[in-house]
Amino acid sequence: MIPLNELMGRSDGWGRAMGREVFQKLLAHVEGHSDQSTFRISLKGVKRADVSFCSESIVELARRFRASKGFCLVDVSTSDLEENIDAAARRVDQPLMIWDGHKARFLGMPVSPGNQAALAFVLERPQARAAEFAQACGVTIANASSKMKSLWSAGFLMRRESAADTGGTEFVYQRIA
Amino acid sequence: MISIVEFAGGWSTAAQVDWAVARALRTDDLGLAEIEFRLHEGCKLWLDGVLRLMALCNQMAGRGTKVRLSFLGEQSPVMGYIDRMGFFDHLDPLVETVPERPLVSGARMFRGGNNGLVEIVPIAAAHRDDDLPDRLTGVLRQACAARTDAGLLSEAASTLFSELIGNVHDHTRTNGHVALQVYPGGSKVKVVVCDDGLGLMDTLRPALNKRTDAYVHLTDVELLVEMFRNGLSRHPDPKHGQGLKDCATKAIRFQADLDVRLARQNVLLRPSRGAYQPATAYCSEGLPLLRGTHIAFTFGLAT
Repeated sequence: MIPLNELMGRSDGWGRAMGREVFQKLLAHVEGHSDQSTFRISLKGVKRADVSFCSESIVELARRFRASKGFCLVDVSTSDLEENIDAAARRVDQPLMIWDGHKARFLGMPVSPGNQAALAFVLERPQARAAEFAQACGVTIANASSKMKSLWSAGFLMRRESAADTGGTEFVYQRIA
Repeated sequence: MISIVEFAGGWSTAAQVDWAVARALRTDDLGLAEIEFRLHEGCKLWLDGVLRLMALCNQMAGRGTKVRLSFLGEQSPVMGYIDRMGFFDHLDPLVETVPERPLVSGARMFRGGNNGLVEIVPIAAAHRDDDLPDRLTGVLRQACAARTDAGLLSEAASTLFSELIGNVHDHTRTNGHVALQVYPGGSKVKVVVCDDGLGLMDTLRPALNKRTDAYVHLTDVELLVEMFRNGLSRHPDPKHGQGLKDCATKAIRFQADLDVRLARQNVLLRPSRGAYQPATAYCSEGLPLLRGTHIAFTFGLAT
C-alpha cells in the first residue's frame, strides 16, 4: 500500500509543482518494487487534492505505467476529491480503478459500450481468458480476445502470459486489485 | 493635464471603477501624464473594486503616470477599509496618497483577526504559500455555515482557489494577488484572484493558433467563454488547459457569477441552465488598459 498522505507530507495537495514533487516520490516507490505489478494507493488522510495536483501525481503515474502496472485507489474520502481525480484522468483518457470497500469501479476514461460486458466478466472473477468470455457470451474467440486486449491496453485490466491447453501461450486477464 | 476620476457615494464594483476611469480619460491612457482618484466620503468599494483600483494605480505609476489617491472627508471610512484589506501594503510607493498612507498597516496589525475576510495576499512564483487555499476555504466554510450545502460548497471552492492561484504560479512571470470577503448584509462572498502578467489572450492565442486555426475567428469574449466551457491550453499535452473549466464546473454548481477582466474588456458570466453561456456573457469594451487577468467569483450565502 502506498500512503499518499505520507508522500505529500500534508493533508491537502494543490498545484502542478506540488503534484510533480509527489510524482517523483511515487515513481521512486514503484521503481523500488520492480517485481510488483499492481499497487494500492491509499488516500487516507488526504483532505483535498485539486485537479492539477491529481493530474501531475497519481494520474501521471497510472499513465506512465499503462498496460504494464496497475494502480487502485482506496480510502478516497470525499466526493469532491473523487471528482477531481476523475477530471484529471479524463483529460488524458486514463482509467483509474477505485475501491470503495464494496466493489471496484473506474474513474476517468469510461469503458466503451462495446467492451462493458467483457470488463464486467473479468471483474467478477479472479482471472479470465478470452475463450471463457467467448463461450459465456456467445462471441467469437477473436472478438473476445480483441475486447480484452483493448481493455488491457487502455489500462482497465492487467494481463499475463500463460500456457494454453493447446500447447501454445495465451493471455490471462485480471482486475487490477 | 490632470485627469480626475471621481468616486461619489455608494458601492463600486471593479466594473464601475473601470467605467469611472474610462469616462475620465478622453484618449488612450498610455501617454497619460497625471491622474487623480478622488474617493468621496460615503464611497464604498466592493472587494473586486479594491483590487481593480490597486492594479490600475500600480500599472499607471509603472508606466510613468503621476498617480494621486485622494480620500476626501474628515475621516475616510473607505481609506480605513482598504487599509484593513492591505491595500497600502501592495500599492506602488510612487502613488501619492492624500492624506498620507497609514504608518502602520491595518492588515498587518489585524491580519487573520476577522473571520469574514482574507486580506490581500501576494502570490509570488518564487515563494509558494502552500496554506493559502486552505485559509481561503476556512473563511468561506465559516461564512456559508448556514447553507445546507456548506460542506460541498467549501470543498468545491477549495479546488477553485487552488486552481486559480496555481494558474498564477504556472502561467505568469509576475506576481499576483488574492483576497476574499464575506458580505453578510449582502449575502454574498467575493473572491478575487489577479495578476499583472501577459493576460489570458496573449498567453493563449499565439500558441493555440500555431496548433490549429479552429479558434482564429473567435472574438476574445467567445474564446474566453470557450476556455471556461470546454477548456483550452497553449500546451499540446492534453493534461493542461482544463483548470479554468474545472473552476467553472465547480462554480456553476453553486450559481456563482464569474467576472473576468482582460486587457481592455470585462466579461461577466452568469450561470444559465447549468453552464456559462455566450448568450449570458455581459461584455464591456473600450476599458482602460489593464495588464494581466483579474478573475472574481461571487457566491450567494443563503440557499
